[in-house]
Amino acid sequence: MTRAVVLHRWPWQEHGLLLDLFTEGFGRVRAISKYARSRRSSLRATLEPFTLIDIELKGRGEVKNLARADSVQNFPLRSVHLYSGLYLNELLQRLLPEHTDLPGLFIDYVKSLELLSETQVIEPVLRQFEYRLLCHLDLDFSFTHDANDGNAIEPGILYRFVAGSGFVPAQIENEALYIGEAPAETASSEWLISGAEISVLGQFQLANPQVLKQFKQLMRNAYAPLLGSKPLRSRELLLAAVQNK
Amino acid sequence: MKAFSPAIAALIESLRILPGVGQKTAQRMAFQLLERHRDGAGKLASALNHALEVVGRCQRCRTLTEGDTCSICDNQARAAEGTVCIVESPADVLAVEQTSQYKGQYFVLMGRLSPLDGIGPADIGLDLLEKRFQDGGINEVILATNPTMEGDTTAHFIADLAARYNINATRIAHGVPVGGELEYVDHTTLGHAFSGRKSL
Repeated sequence: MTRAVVLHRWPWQEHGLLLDLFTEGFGRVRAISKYARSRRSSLRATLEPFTLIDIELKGRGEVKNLARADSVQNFPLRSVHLYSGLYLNELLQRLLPEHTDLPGLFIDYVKSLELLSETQVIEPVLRQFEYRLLCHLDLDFSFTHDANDGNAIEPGILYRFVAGSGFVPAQIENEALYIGEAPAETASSEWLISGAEISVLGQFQLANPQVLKQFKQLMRNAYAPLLGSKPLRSRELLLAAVQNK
Repeated sequence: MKAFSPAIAALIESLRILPGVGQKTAQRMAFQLLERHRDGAGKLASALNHALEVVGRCQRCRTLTEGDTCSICDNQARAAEGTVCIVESPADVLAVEQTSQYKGQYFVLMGRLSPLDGIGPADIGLDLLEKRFQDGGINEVILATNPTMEGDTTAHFIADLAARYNINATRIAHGVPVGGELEYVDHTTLGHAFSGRKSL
């Protein structure tokens, strides 16, 4: 028996489902449940996303057969919490290759679902998961040393963020930029952050709105090259929901 | 498929697009039509052609209908109710109609929001629905999308949209089937049934 959560599923033939499962121990696996959509099947609710299930997979091929599935715990999500859950699933679908087990990621994911179903505030949960996912993908970075020479981050200097490596001192003509120096000659759209702020981010005080906002900016920068030009559809839903409010 | 002449092979292939029809069933259907029911086959062909020509989408509720608007949208008494029931497909309209409990109008999404499949608000006609909200005359939307993750996503999204126009949004209840036994109902459904309990 393996613990798993359905990330997404599609109708398969007349009565079946093709499942994109996130499993503990095997990573993302595709499996078929032949009769899940038949009228008498009791599996329909079990195989909905955001439900922790115990499963048994059979078969040697790329696509497994789902031999058994029992529901363990359901995480009821509503409205923006539901869109946030979809966002987590979309991130995993886009960034986690199939059949790659990253130990601990499954527990982080289930923990995030649990938090989403219990708490009112969603953003810290999402940011936390985003950071944990980067760590599991070996794309984490230091909050205490720069990515150029490994020098300690200095509070007074401005840094830019390079996805995949970390913070590097922002420079104009080989001169470091200090706080208060307007970066007029660099691309004005570039995100710059002071060493002092980096140290604060490194403490993960995501309950603080200011820290949360900068952490979001950081995660945006970190994920941009990973996600490419194809936008996340669940993020569009989240944005529309915020506008509707 | 050498065994059949091209016309028969084409017919069999065409029949296979129907749900639940595989190669074997398609063959049986094709032979039945050509051998024993040639009249019926003619009628079927012309009915299919006629329906394809005249049936389109209702301009108000997007269900399948002949003409610009469907008979439910044209019904003044139903419009006066001020309720719109949101469903995923024309078949769902029929299902709700058969309950004989609902006297208002419908809006058929012809799908559901599914970000993981790339289906967004514009793909299910929510711009048209928002226009109906703007036009006024609606005091309640009943969200009768399926109790799946996508159906719930769609329902919450439309509820938020309705709130912007001060329209009350309700979701149909999910629970234990009539004549069912609690012991055999899955946790999730039973959970819904409990959270949606009513005082007697």
